[in-house]
Amino acid sequence: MFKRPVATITLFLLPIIMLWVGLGILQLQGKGVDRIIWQASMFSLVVLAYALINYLLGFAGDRFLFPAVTCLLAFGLVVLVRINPELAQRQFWWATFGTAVAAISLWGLRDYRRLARYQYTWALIAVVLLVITTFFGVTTGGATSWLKFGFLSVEPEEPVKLIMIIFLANYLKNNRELLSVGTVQVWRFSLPEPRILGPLAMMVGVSLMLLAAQKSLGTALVFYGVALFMVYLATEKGYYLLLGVPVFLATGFLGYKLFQHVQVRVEIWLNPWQSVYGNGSQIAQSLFAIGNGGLFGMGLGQGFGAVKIPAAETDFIFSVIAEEFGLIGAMGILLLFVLIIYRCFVIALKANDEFGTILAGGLGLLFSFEALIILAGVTKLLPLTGIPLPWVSYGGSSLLVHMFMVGCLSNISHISQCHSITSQVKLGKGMAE
Amino acid sequence: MTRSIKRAVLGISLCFIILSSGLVYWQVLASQDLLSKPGNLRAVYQEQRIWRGGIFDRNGEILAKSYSAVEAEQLMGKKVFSTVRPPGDQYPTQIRLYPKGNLFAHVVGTYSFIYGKTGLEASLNKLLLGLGPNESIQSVSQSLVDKSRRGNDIVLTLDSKIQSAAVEALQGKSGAAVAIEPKTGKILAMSSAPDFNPNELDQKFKEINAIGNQVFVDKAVSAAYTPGSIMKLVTAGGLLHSGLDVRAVYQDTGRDRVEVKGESREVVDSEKEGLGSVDFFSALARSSNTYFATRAALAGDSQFLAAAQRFGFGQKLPLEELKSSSTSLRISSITAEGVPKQLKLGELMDSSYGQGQVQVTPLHMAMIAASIANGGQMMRPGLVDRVLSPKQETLYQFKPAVWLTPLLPQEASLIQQGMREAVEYGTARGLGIDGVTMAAKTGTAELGEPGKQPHGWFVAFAPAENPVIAVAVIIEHGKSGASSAGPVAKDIIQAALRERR
Repeated sequence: MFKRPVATITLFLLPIIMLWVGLGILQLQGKGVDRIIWQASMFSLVVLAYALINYLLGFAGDRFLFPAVTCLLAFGLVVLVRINPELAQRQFWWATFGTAVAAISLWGLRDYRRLARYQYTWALIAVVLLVITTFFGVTTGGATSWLKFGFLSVEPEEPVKLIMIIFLANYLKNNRELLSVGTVQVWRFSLPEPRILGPLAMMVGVSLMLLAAQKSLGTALVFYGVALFMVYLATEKGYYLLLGVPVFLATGFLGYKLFQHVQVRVEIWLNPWQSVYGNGSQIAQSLFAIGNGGLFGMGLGQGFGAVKIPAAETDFIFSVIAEEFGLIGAMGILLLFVLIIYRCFVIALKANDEFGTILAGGLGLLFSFEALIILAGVTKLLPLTGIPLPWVSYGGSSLLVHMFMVGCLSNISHISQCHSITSQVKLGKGMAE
Repeated sequence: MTRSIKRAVLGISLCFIILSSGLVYWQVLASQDLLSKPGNLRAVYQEQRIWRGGIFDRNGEILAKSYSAVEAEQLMGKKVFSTVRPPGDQYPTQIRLYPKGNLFAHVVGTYSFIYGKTGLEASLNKLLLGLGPNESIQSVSQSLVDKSRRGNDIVLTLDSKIQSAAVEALQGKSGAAVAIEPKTGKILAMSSAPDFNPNELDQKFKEINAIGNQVFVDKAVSAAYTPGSIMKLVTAGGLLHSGLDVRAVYQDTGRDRVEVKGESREVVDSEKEGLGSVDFFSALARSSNTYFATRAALAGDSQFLAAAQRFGFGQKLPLEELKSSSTSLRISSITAEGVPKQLKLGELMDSSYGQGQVQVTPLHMAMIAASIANGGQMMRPGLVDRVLSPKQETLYQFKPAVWLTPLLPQEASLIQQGMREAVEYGTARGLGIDGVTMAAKTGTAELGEPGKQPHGWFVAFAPAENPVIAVAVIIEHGKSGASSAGPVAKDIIQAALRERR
């Protein structure tokens, strides 16, 4: 059901060409590309296999989402090879595995509505995961957000992001009407009954508290923003956002007073130049790298940020890109994110049920918040809160979860498209509803 | 939900636009500013990607050169490490070495990752990197595909043998020496003491710094001193200009009193009993303070100040090639304000024999001596003889040019005669060189600080009838100029004459 097979194949070839051109340039500079040729080939084959499966199974959904994500992924992989070939080797496996995960969530899941089942079980699992991490987690970079299983480290807050969005989408679908038509009058606003707000406040509140206890402040900020805006999306009531601002400010102030490292972060943000060799080194080095990129960049492999910036392969990968690819390359990354987020909302608008709309919208909001918070952090527009840049930063947990989300989005758009083309198309017997 | 989704998309788009503006700010508007922030070593790293040009003396001897690690080890006889390596760089390592050690520590300077660049290494940085006037290291480095890019080589006017004589003679002292070719203005030697070995700067910074006596200051250009009697050369220029009768005999009794416009002032020569009858030449040769103070007073302050102006007091010396953020060129001055409009009688008399507030730099003093040697024409000083591109094409060639004309030829020859007589029977006697006529003037600068010995000065040129070298030497707290600075100047002149033969 591909309308234009040639154009679609081109879309899938683009990231693969990007990847191999990048690797070729690095090979010329002797950056140890030879040992990852095999992994890179595997990844390329899996991406092509994904395209082939979609073709064979008659994928009718969004044609741009997955290629755009793969472009980001390829860009990130090339830059990772440049920063640290050994880490890149592992990331290639995660990317290959992630593409398979996307295919599984697109085709294996059959229908995204099945995700809505057992929502309270999922919510419980999410909370339990966070509790375990809070007490048994490994602390790196100030945040206790890792669980270690032998050689494997997992970041539970990543799957919790997905669970929370699914939970919220289902909850909002069920309580949309009641949430938008208030019964309790507070001054000029009519608010819904506490009984209905209960589960929402519980889920969001408990997650936020646990994340605060782990000092994963960036993730807490993402959770809060996504939850708030999802409620707004579903209810179309602006006062939820208005209500969210004082709550945010109060929480922020409390956090500032309670946590020493929040105060340090804000201080660094206000003047990173005072401690270029100390606390301010990360953000100062990030800005040095970004500034050095200029309009066209130093060229792949020619920058200094890759070595000079702490955490260059995770939180600060964008600064490395900005130095080596310049304003042009940095804008390219931003455009890819804008394209992906835009497709999410297009999928949300086209979805043929409310759960799909809110779920796709919620994922669009998640990607927006994640990208904006870390990018504003590394460019000193906001105080820095370290979170990975989706699909670009090194990290298996984040990548697998985000690839699963892309599969979900494709599934939503595929099903809505099939329904609008012909109502006869059935996607398996195990369909929900 | 269409309405809220559209609004969310609008809001998110706005956020991305703000983010893009932030990027434009950092990457375009603030880019240069970030490069010069402390802690940002990118400019240094990027310089390392260009093979820096060498610095050579006028005979082609290496004064500063970038070596590979292997060459550096052979040259120094031990492993040499570059203090800072650009991280993860695939460009070849270059190590900056100075084969002449201490000799050119100040003028050629140093190139250090930790302590920055000084001397010509700093002021000629762009040429050494081969950058055009409108190119920045950043713009070049960004488009650097060619890994074998090289900078320009620079051939100086300095002569290692003459420089070596100067540095050896200054050993253990504190002071400076400058030698100039009078006809061209080419600087042949320029040294400052105490000195240090630039090859050891990074490793032994503390020990070098502990030497004290402003070891890192290039005293030849960045320090100014009270000149004492060598100032009489300038005063003489003014007196001759005012129509002084050089044969008129004056009785030097060691003290004298003048009255000008109702003001009366006495000059007392603190050391001498009085030199007896002197004329212009013997007054210069035997350095009579009372002669010059009274003659200057009678000729008036405007004559003296005009002469100072003609000799370049109060003006920047045209040696831009040495000027950088680490090296400042001091300006010689009569008073704190440079060359004032007028002087009080007492100030004029003190200034006439180089006391009072007069300050001169060693380079300027050498230029004054050279102008007298060159028939009254002061040449523009030069340190860079040639700039050669990596393909050894000449990009720049020094051309002699007159900077100032402080004296008429006949005035210059009268002062020359006084300076010759100084060597024959005057204050510089015993410092002559066999078979060569030398002209000289000594100076002993009283500092007016109790317990501090006066600075010793000596300026000279030779051979007097066809000068090839003019020198100025200062020895801080060296007592008399003839005994402290004189032998240094003599060594330098001998080295230059030996080279000519």
